[in-house]
Amino acid sequence: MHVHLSPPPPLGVRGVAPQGQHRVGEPTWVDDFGTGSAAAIAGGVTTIGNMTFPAAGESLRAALDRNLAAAGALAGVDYVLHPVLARADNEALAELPRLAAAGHLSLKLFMVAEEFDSQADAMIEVVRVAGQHGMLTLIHCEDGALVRFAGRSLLRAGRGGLTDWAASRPVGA
Amino acid sequence: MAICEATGSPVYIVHLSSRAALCAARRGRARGLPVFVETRPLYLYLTSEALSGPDGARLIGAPPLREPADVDALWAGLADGSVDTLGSDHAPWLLADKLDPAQDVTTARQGVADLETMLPMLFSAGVRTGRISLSRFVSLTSTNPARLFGLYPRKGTIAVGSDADLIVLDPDQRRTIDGRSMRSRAGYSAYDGAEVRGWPRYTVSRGEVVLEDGQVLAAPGRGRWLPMAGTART
Repeated sequence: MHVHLSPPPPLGVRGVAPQGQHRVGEPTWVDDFGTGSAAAIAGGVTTIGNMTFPAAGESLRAALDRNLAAAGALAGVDYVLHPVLARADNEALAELPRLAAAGHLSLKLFMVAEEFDSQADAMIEVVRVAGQHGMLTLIHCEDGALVRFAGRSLLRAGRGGLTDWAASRPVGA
Repeated sequence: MAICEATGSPVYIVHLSSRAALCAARRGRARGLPVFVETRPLYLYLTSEALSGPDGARLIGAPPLREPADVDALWAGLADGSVDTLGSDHAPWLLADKLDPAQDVTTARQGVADLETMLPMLFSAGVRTGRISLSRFVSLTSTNPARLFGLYPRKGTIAVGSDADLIVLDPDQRRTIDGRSMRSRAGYSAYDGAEVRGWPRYTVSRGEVVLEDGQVLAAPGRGRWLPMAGTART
C-alpha cells in the first residue's frame, strides 16, 4: 500500500520537478502503473497504494484525477491513491472533506520537506481536519531542519558524497 | 507522535527505520494514541555498512539503512505486533541514475524497486526461519493494511463476499534474485545475488488468475480504484 509509480505529467508540463531532497516534488520513476502492476503481480501483491503528487499549482483533486486516468489505462492490480499535501493553504484544507466524501481517506505529508517547516502551524491543522473527516495521515517522519543541517555540515567538511548517505540522515533526525 | 497526541487524529508512520523510532511509537501506542507503523523491506535485510561499500548508492532511500540493532528491533516489532505493516515503498530508478557521481547527499535519488521481492523475501527470511509466524505474515501484508486503509473486508480476508485476492506460494521454490530479469524497469534489485526460497506460483485478483508459473496475465487497465471506508482500524 505504499508505492511510487509515475503517471504522465499534467498537460503543458514538461517532465516533473526533479526531486530535491528538501522539497516535495515527484521525480520521474521508471515504472508506471503498467510495469509496476506486473512487478506487483509477479511478487504476489494484489493491491497497491500510489503516492500521488500534485504538480506546481495543481489541486489534490486534479492530481488524483490524473493518476486515476493513468491507472485506469494501465493498472493490472487494484489500487488506492494517497494524495501528497505540500501546500497547506485554505484551498487545500477545503478539499479534504470533499476528498473524504469521495472515498479518498488517506493523505501524505513529508515532515522532511522545507514546506513542512515553513507551514508547520497549518500542517498540524491539516492533520486535525483530516482526522475529523475520517482520514488517515501518512507521515514521512524525518526532521527536515536536522537533515538539512547534517547535509550542510558534511559538505562544509569536504564530504557529502553518496557514500556519506547514512551520516547525512542520522537517527536523531 | 506529538502531532498525533495534539490533534487526536490517526497517524501512520511510513517506512520506520530505527529502534529508537519504534520505541517511541510503542510508547505512544501504550498511551492509547492512534499511531500506526509501517516499515519497509530494505531495513530488514541490509545495514548502513552496505551504503559505504562499492556501488552502495544503489541502496539509497530515506531514511537510510541503519545498524544491526535496528534490524533486530524491526524484526522483533514485526513479530510482536508493534509494526503494523510492511510496505514496499517501490520507488524505482535506473542503476546508472542512482550511481550518478554528480549527486551528493542533498540531491541523491531516493528509493528502490521492491514490489516483486517484498513478499518472497519476507516469507523466506521471516516465516521459513521462524522469526515470524505465517499468521503474522498475512497480517503484516494483507489484513492490517486492508483494515488501516479502509478496505476491509473487501480486501484482507478470505470470506464470502470479499474479493478473491489470493496467492499460491511454493514454499520450496528457490530463486537467486536478479533484477535484470524482473518486471520493474529499474533493471536491478537491491538484493541482487540473494538466495530466496518461497515464491508465488499463482496470483489471483478478484477471482482472476493474473500470475501463472512466471507469466503475468493481467490485461492493462483491469485494475480498479478502491474507495476507502473506515480507516485506522486494527
